[in-house]
Amino acid sequence: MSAVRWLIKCGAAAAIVLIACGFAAVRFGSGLQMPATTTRDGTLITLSRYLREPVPDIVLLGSSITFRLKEEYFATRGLRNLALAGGSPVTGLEIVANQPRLPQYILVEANVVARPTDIALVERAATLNRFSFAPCGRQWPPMSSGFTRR
Amino acid sequence: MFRSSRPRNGILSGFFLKLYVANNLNEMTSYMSFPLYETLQTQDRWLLVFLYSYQIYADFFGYSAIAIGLGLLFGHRLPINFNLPYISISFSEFWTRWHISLSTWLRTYLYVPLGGNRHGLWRTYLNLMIVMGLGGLWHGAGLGYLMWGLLHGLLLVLERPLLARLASIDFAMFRAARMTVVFLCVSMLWIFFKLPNFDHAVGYLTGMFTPSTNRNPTKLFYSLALLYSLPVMIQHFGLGTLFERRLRWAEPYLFGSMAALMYLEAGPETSVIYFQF
Repeated sequence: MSAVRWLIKCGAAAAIVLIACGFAAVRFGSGLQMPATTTRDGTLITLSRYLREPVPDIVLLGSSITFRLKEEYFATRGLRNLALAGGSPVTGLEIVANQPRLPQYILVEANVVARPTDIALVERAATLNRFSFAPCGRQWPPMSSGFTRR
Repeated sequence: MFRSSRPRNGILSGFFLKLYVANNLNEMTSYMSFPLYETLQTQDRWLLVFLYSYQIYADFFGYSAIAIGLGLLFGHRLPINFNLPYISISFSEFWTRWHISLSTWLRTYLYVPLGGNRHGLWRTYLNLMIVMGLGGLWHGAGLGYLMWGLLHGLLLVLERPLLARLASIDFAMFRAARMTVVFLCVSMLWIFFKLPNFDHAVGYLTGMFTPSTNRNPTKLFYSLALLYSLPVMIQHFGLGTLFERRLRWAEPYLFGSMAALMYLEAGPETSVIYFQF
């Protein structure tokens, strides 16, 4: 088999797997999400969900304290929790502000407002906005895996 | 399948084993570090030992395969460094399959000049212990590395008088049992690699034989552990040879899928384990 034919077959196989995963991600959404195994994983899942779903009426921003508040606790349906465990509400604010539409109410946990913005995460949010057609194994970009604490 | 007879095979399989297997397993085996291992359940300590065994192989094999592949691109044929070490049925066979460049160097420049097996049984045993002890110290000047080498030396000494008798018993189940014993012992000794501090290594080992009392242990995703270990298992179970012969036509598709998988599912970036030595 010539090297060119080998490369074409190899590339075609890679493209088929990537396209299949892309379609599966669109079709099944977060059902194919790998378990969140680190804080960073959890943050990216929260972020990806916020960007994918319609703009809520109310958004909660904060650190791990607010992160623990489950959305199901609230009677209001149009509420999203964009608190970032280990992160800052300022990062959340920047991400929300960069979206074309804003929620009606933005509730901010004032506990760690002094914590600086996570610029890398804000940039990732911009990337996530551009790449809504994400691979199925992980939300774009690839996330780490391994363990979580029970 | 992961043999590096061609540059493309070496480079692709090397990166796949490093990015997909080793880097993902590293996320899990990081819990073997002190004091994190205190949070593990007993059965998870055992599992992590085997996962580290796969990780260190995938990491170092990947590194070597990439080097061999790149060497071939420039016209240099570097010798292979690994030859399915975890199917070894004896410790002496293991050392002909694992880190072949180092074991060859140790044999040529230490074992043979020390007299090898030419000066009687006890001198042979002493030579084996010296060579393996120094082989351990080659990895780092620490008690843990020395212990790792000496324990390998001890295993070589213990099996040496039995080798001829064991070789005469030749049926599949017995060979599988021998393979399991070798893999088990080699894997347990990797603890001294993962935890160079001798006290920490002993602490980890002790915990493997003590029931866990931690009420909030670290959770381990067994499905992910299997997913990331599978390529090493597949390679060792001989499917690689199948792809080299009867399924050769499928090789480009396999490598293409591997490339896609390492793009989708690469673990967080970590340096190669052997860079520290």
